[in-house]
Amino acid sequence: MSYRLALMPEKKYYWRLMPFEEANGAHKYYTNLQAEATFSTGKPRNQFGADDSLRYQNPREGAHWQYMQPVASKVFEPLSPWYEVKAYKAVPPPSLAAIRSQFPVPVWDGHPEALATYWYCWDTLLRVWVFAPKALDHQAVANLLGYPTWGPWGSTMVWDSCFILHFARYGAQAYPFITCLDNCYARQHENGFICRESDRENREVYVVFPVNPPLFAWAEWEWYKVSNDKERLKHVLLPLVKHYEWWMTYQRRENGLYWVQGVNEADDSPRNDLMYYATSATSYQGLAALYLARIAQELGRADLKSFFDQQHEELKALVNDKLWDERHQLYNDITKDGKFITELQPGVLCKHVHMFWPLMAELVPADRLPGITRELKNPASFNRSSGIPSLSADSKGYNADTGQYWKGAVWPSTQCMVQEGLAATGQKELVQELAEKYYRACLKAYAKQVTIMENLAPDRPVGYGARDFVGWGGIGPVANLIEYMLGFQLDAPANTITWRIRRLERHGLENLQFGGFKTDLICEARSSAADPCHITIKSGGPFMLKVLADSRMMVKEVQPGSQSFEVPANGPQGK
Amino acid sequence: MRLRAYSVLPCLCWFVGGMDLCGQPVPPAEQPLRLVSPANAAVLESFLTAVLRWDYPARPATVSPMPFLHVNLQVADNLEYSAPLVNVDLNDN
Repeated sequence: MSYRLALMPEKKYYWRLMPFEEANGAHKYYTNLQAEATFSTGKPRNQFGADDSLRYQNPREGAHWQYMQPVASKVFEPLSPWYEVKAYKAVPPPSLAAIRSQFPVPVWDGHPEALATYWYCWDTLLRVWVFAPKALDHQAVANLLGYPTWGPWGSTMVWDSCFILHFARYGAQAYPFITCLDNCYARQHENGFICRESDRENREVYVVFPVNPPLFAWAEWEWYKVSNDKERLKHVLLPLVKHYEWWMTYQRRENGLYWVQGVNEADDSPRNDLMYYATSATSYQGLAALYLARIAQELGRADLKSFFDQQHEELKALVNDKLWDERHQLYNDITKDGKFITELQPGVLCKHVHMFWPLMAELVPADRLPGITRELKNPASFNRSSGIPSLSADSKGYNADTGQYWKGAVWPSTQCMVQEGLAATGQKELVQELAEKYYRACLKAYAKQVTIMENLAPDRPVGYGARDFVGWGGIGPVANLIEYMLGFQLDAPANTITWRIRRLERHGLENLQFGGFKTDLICEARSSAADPCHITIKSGGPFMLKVLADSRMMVKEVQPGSQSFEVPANGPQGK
Repeated sequence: MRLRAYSVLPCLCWFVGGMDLCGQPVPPAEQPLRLVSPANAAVLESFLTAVLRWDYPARPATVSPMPFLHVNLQVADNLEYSAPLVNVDLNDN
């Protein structure tokens, strides 16, 4: 018998076990048979020099290996050592037609193209990307989320999955897309490692550098914010903490900065050959700490919250001490001898989108924001017509024509990362502008190509790469539509919807599952942004609605039933 | 109250040389649960997680024909087990 749990480092613990029998609903405890002992958790280890046999210890049976030396398994490890879901009990996913009535329905008069792209995304996600395992010896514990015909074995990627969930969470009421992450936790190793890719049967795929950015905690938290499913948080805490432990053990260098090989987040970025310490890796470990602290707090684990808060503070200090390029007023990777890769030779720039990770991880002090936002506003650098390019236009290697593959192309994942970072740091106007620009480029590309592809050329609304890439290609047409074009922000645990009204056309969301009920929210057409907003709400339950229109704010306690109200032209000011 | 000899004798014999008066082996007494790992006072290599392992005792048939089916596990950062981090009944023996 065994039990696994998350604890604090370097701390003494007491444990005891007492058998009991249950009869007629009563417990009879055998105190004479009780056993107890103590143990202490270790000091955080740093084994940055460990070879693959330790890092990826005991790969799972049937793992695929490409462009790296296979590691032999010494011990058989069962699925899900750190997670409770240990077997596939799902049924194949439904088609969109079967569950369409359960999705939220955007309303935006005069914009049929927005709705067409929205529904194309859900259809593609369910038709192509969510699929059941087929082999008798599969290692899945849930339906998979990936591209089943990619390469020789099909592919699911942790990095993609977490960003896909950024928009798929809006379909939580129709289908439990989050369960795709159960497959990642199922293939977690005893030492905490989670391979960044699997085949279509959830067997591990080791290619070049099989480490994924630790985005699970963020993705789980985002799901929680729309689903209010605290039970899930309870179940995933342990694999998330174990994964954090793996990152601390194997991805830190001597000075505490984290590293990645680069191919795991941008296959052919010029940065990959230059960096030794990665701004991205150090930051997204900070992101994991930030969201693990939030999850721990929600679950009443004050000890873990305190640890992850401290981790976040330490990483913030480290990023700002070591990775802030004072001369160029931005964060960037550094070489082994401590030089920023921004301008290793005079006039030869290397500015890439991964230098913005500190924003989303909330590691940026206010006095360093202007340098970063200047880059994002600069049309000669990152402010391109399709969105935020993977490489700035003034960097060496920028491909203005197509941007392929990571030399300027606008990728949904990194566009989302920058948007999330700007939102987290209060850059409301800038994030609105950039999110709308990307959204419009996505729709133009879809109108021309009648598909969504992997990425967009930076200076033309044209998609490149594989077709039907929804996939994270749904971030623009679904998440940006709901969050930035229609203006909704959901916080189910707080039972609150925030609605930033910016459109003049009649718009809103219908059939939105929120908490345990459905609601419709509609704002009637206006002739100018200064006009009153006439809002109609039908709701199956009570919730708090915070409306922000222009610079006016209204907080309304919505009651079950139908109701209409107005945000007056001269209403109270708010942000 | 005086105990009758026929009820006391078997008890006296129970632990004498592992044999009763009739020369039959004496079943072992119930043993406490055996904590397998971590060993008492051990310092773990892991620093954010722990795996606790134990064995249930084999119950003498004279005590119960059934093994234990349930156990209560508590983990705390204090000897008094106040506000334990874990206090859970496990039913999957």
